[in-house]
Amino acid sequence: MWLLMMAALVALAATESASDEALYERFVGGDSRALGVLYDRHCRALKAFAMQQGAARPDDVVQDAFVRVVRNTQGFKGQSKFKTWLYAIARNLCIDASRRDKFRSGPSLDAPMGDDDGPTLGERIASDAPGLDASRNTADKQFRTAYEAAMQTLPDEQREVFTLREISGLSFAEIAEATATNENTVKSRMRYALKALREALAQFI
Amino acid sequence: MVDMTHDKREHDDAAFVDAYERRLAGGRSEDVPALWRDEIEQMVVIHERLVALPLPEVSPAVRSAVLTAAAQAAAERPQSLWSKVAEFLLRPGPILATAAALALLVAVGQRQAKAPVDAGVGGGAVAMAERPVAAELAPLAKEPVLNQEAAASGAAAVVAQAQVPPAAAAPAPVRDPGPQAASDGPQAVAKADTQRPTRTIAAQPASLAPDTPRLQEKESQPAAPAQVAQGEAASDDQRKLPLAPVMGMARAENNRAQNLDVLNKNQFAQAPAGAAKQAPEQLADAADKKGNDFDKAASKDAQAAVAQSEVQQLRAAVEKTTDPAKKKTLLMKLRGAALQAGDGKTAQWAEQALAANAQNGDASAGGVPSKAKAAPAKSAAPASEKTSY
Repeated sequence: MWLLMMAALVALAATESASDEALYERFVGGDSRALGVLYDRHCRALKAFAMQQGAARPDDVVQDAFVRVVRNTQGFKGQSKFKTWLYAIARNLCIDASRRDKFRSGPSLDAPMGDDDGPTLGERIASDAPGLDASRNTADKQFRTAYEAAMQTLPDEQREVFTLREISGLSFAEIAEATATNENTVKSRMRYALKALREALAQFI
Repeated sequence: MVDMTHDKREHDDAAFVDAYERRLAGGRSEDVPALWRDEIEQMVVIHERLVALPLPEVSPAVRSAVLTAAAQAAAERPQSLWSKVAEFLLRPGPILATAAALALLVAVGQRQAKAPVDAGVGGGAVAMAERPVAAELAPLAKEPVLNQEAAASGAAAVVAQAQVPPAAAAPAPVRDPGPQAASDGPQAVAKADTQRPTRTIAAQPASLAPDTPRLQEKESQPAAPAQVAQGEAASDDQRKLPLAPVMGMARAENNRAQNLDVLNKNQFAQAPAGAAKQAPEQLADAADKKGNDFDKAASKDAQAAVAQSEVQQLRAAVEKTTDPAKKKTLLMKLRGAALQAGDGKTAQWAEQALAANAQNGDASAGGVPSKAKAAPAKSAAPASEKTSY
């Protein structure tokens, strides 16, 4: 019996280092704390992905994505990684939001705010993020601004692949699964995104 | 043609991306193809600056909303703490770990339980003791045993392998009264039994049983009806071995020894006088030769006892008889019997009485010398004394 208790204690201590799939399995088993660990692990990258996907309210995308994860436990079959499943949900949410925004008279993230030379709404959101240090050096701000602008010039497919690979850390196979695309196509899109960003950010090299 | 160009382009894109990924994973720039080297190195610089940018923070309200939804979902699936722990522990990992630990504990426990036995009788004995006796006896129980001695030897071997205590496995010592005693009556048998050392017929190992001369001789001889009956009884014992293996095998071994002695005695008694001296040599093997010498001495003693008894009967008849002619006949018989019994003094007394009877025509019993009358009944005169007389 003491051996079983020791195994339970070791398992609880290893919660932080457990895999996404193990944590979600524990959440399905009734451990709501495991879902908190999952949220803290992916929420920021998921918001960055939602922002790059053009979501007007990326926090809502993050919340809706995790609420679907909570309620649709039967949707995760365990055949793919949890991260792939989560980003597939977020991607669908972004697509749905983008479709809704076409009929909405709200401000566009890509449209310059104020005069024509001012930052876009997306740039404002990114720069107003709580995690950004106000004393960050000017070079980083300039790079971020140029990066955001270059990303907006990319086609949606290339921006999506680049964000999932560089920001979210998915492999090309997982990106192919999440986007229902061939892996070589994903790599091709990645190469064109790299080429465009290299040309747009040449001043920072 | 267009598709081939497209495929080639995708292939090149994939190769480029793979080279870029290898470079990011820590690969050297020299390993990157020269065609893409500059481009990939520039992308590595952009990547490093991009990774350095912090990710946007998510509103704490979102986290609260998500955890609230999770709590509600958990409430819809009410589970106790024990069920949570049990569900977690019943996964393959903890189950395998627990099973391995239990198996280890059981193995250690069994080994500790075996340790005193190993120290006492040794590993080989333990291995033999662990062998099921029923498995050893199964062939014996299935096949009808026609040869009693072989069956008994096999049974004795199984008893020895089953580590039965010697008192239970070995047959009781069987005393061989000798071949002549069987024909001389129970008294002579009892006498011979008390006057010579007992000879124990020990159970022979199964591996040696077929090679012993006794067994070969036994197999070549026809079995007597009583022996066949006892053999059938032994066969019955063999068939019952699985039910009472130890007792049945001990009984079969005892029967074998007894039948062997009875056979020896019968053969010696039925043999002609000339062959009587050779019969023990034919029956006995080298190990039993000393025992057969004792048998010869015992038979001589028995013959002497019978002759002495006859001498006493004749002498009593002589003393009672008053008829000179009948007395003469009895005295002549007495003299012959005394000579045969080796009683020289009685023979001398009979000779003197016969002479006096011849001279006086009336020999009375009172004329018999008192010294000769008081002669010991069991005088074992040597052969030289008999001949000198």
